[in-house]
Amino acid sequence: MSYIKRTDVPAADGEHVVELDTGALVATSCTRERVATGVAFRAKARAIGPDGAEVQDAMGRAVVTELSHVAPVTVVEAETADAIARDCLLAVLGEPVTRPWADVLLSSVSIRVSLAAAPISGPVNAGAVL
Amino acid sequence: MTIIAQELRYRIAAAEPGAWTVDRIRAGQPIELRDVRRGVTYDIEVRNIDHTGRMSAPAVLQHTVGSTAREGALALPVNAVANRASVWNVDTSVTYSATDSVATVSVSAGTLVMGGANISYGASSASVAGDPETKKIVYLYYDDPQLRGGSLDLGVTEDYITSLSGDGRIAITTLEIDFPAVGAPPVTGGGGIGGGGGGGGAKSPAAEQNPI
Repeated sequence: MSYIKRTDVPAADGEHVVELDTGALVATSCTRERVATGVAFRAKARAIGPDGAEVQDAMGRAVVTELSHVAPVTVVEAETADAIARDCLLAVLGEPVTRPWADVLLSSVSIRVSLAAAPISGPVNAGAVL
Repeated sequence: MTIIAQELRYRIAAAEPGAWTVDRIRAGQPIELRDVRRGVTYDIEVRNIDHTGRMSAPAVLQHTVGSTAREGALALPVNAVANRASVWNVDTSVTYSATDSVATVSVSAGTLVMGGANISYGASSASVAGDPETKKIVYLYYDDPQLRGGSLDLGVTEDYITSLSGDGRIAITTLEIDFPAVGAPPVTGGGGIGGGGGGGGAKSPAAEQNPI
């Protein structure tokens, strides 16, 4: 798994576009906010086309994944905010991460998994498959 | 001609009305207006859509949302009669992986079931600081007063009362984290919480239930 940064694809403010090794384009972003228990890192990956338009699944829903990770300030100071944000971004891109997140979490927030499932979503033509 | 769906569109009725909200509902399903405000009158149009995609002329009506209509948690069905008020569905899990100083808690995507209502939440996680060779009990929750679900920040507290004091605080579960000795391999734990949490609350330290 790998990705390259792309600067020639339009995206929304605060987003950065990367191209996955599958050829898929993803607009990704991460915000940090102080919350009651520390700092909330909120990463988002949004599948887009070459023109910046959102990619939809077979049911017409945008292919988007999000992850929220909350860390106490002591942990943020020890690991650095950028390192945690990078890990959150890698998680939503479906790239290897350093944090020991559960496989079930990584699978559900991975844009790669959502993109793979997107064309399969929707009703099945029972007559054709039986 | 077979009716396969209805197209519903509605907007606030006013001298200069705003944009329509459009929704498509499968035939046979109840037609509901979402995110409306109490005491406000709406213009509503409903069209039938047949299997070829053709749409009928609209049925036009107005509806005023009752000023006493309940919303949020108050609108939930009252199902707690000889039953749990709410539980997490069986595929929901909470796990952790702890080093000698930090535990990473992972909450899977999950669905909170309350009678006939299902609210889906995205996966979330949190770091919890600790000391080597100690155990820590934490209470996990989401803050979701409107019960909208989605991707939310995971709340973590060591205080049971904090985990349930707040409007719309959704209890997830109680987790006992075991921090290993310095240099020891990471400790993992946790598991499925299906059938627990939710309105049942995180488990009280005084109760007979043990944390996962």
